Amino acid sequence: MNLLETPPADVNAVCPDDLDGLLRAYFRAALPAPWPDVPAVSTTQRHSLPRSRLALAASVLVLVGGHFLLADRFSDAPPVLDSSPGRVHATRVNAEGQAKKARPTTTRDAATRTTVGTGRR
Amino acid sequence: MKPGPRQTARLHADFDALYRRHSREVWALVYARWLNADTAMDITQETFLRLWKQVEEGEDILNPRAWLLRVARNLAEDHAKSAFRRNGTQPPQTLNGVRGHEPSPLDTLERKETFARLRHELRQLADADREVLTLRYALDYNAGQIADLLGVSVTAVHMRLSRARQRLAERLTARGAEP
Repeated sequence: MNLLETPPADVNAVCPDDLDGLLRAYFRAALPAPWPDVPAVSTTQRHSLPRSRLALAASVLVLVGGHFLLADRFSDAPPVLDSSPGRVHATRVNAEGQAKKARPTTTRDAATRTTVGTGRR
Repeated sequence: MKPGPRQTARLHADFDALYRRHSREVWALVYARWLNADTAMDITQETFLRLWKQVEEGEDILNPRAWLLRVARNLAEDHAKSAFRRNGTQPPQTLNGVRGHEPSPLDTLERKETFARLRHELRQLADADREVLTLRYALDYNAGQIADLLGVSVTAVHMRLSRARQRLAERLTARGAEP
């Protein structure tokens, strides 16, 4: 080998006076070549809809259905207004059809509660 | 119900497109973290396998690029704690994460030594500086592309590049290398 000969040009040679060249050569050398193919994957799922969506739909149905079932079992008829003068109160009818008067709310009661609450008369 | 062949083919096509578009970016960010090409590729492959799992389960990913980069970063951080981290010998072609292509053994040795010194100095830099360097010199990204990928301003990219190059030049000169 003749040491005086200029070595053949090498596109991957590191240029000592050029940091850019050094960095580019370094990182290009690190970059895999050829670039690997896309990883092999396979379809394994068997559901057309995600499980979570089916579970959510089922939960909603249970809640709605349960609401209506419970509402039918425990609900009362609409309140009937008592037209007695001076007082307006609701008369509720329970499931057996028996009237049950609700305690009316009057101004005096409110004042009493206020007095009791503050400890003064 | 098993997905039809058309749906499966479409899933694969979309996945392939995402891989071709973003795999190098993912690799670059992971490489910036570990400065090891094999580790970076392992994590890149794992990232895309996780993406496939999400796609297969019908999960909608609004920004696949951001999702991939985030998962890759998390996997890169987890790599230090994981059991599969390899500490054994590496094949000569990938020594220190550098592949050799030169026919001359002397050139190869000098090249590896230079790269080893550079790699040592790169490790001293901040992660953010290594990221911009990797994207710039491995993928030839311009400042705008780097800023878009990292979610920072172009000015910040220029500053990081300038700072990183200056530090490398100083360190390599101080150590007797030839920047």
